Amino acid sequence: MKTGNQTTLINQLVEQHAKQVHLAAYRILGDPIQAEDVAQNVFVKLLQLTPQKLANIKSWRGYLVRLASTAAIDLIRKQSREKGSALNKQTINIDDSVIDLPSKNHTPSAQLDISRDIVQFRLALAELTQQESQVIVLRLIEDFSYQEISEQLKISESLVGVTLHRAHKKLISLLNESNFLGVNYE
Amino acid sequence: MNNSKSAEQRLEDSVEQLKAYELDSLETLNMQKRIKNAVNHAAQLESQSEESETIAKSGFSQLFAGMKSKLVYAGSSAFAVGFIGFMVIMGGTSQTAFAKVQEQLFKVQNLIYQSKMYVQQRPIMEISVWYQEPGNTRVETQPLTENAEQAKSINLIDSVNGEGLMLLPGQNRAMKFQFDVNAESDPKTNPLLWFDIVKDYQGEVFNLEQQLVDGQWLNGFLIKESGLSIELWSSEVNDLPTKISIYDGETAKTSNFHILGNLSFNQQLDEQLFAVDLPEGYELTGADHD
Repeated sequence: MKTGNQTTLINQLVEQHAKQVHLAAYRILGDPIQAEDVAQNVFVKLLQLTPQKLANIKSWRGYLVRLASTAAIDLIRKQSREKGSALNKQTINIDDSVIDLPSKNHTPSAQLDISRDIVQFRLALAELTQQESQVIVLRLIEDFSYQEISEQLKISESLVGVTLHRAHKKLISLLNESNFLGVNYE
Repeated sequence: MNNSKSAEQRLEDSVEQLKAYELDSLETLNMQKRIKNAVNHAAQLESQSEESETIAKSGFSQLFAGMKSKLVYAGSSAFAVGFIGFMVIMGGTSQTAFAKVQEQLFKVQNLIYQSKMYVQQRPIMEISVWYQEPGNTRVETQPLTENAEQAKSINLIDSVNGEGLMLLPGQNRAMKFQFDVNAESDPKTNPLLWFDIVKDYQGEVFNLEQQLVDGQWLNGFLIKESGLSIELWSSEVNDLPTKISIYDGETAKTSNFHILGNLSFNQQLDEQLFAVDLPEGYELTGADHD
């Protein structure tokens, strides 16, 4: 049974962090509805935490963004498994790669290239291990420090560094592979 | 093809673009409001959830504590399992993607559920349920095992007045029963609990690929609850579920038990379906026989 205080706390957290949580999921998924589902689940699941566990959370931003990122990564991994990796199929539907980019300072051609690269990045992210993808997202996209990642993933800072390096190499390799294989856009 | 840039540069550009995504303030406010509503709703359900889970796990027979002996008498433990599945399935249609389905279910006046239960891939029983607001339910079970023609049972349940009639057509016998309906919010005595659950459910829902059935596109959803996997397909036209598949394994094909059902809503139902009068030729028997 949850107290009114706990619900009030979660409502306050929604006000303070829902935007970041939603964005964290959206950046990975590229789908605002799925991202909102993820964000909603993150906050609703806080109801399952004991008051003691809630009290022990030091960084709400870190905790919530990490949960949202992890859930979003899990989702793209699942979707990737279900549909089969587009990298392996060497085919990406052009409709999937047209993304409304926030930065408009690009020529249409460059914008299309970046849209495709983002699709490739998301596909490659799904190919990494869970820890690798978490570290990549938290470090590169969410700008977490090594210390914050270490606290959130409960691994040492040195392991954060090693994982980041390894994951980065994998990503580059996967992106190179997609180029080398000549991923087709229909 | 974007071959001119190095993979390193492509990665950097992608990350830069992803970091630049923003939500405008109105979108943020609306999203916050929806999430708060979901949180508050889930918090309200929290006080009921333990009891609901207990019911889902312990069996339909406990829902009708006062009717248990009659249900057992009917030899319908499989029916109980089936109905649990039904309760659970109807309790899993929520979350954002299910909002329209849920909204439509709030408006439902009646429903028909016709299903077949399989155990280890063998058909065991047909289960049909007719439900009419505000609280009339007719449940027919027909075992499909050999020599089970006489084992058909019909339960007529009036959950408003807390009474019912069980008919055993094969034996021309009937049994009246009563059960305590203290309040709609009491899950142990409220046979319509599943309907409340379906309207209030907030669990996780996975999308399935659309199916084209009889020329109509159906949206598919998968939920997992109390060890059951439940697939549900709803009409794109009216957002009401029309097909159900319930199984206890990772896939329907590898499951120990599996229920396939069809649902329809808001049909013209004959009042006689729910009549609790003793049919002609039936002998009234049983513990509650006055």
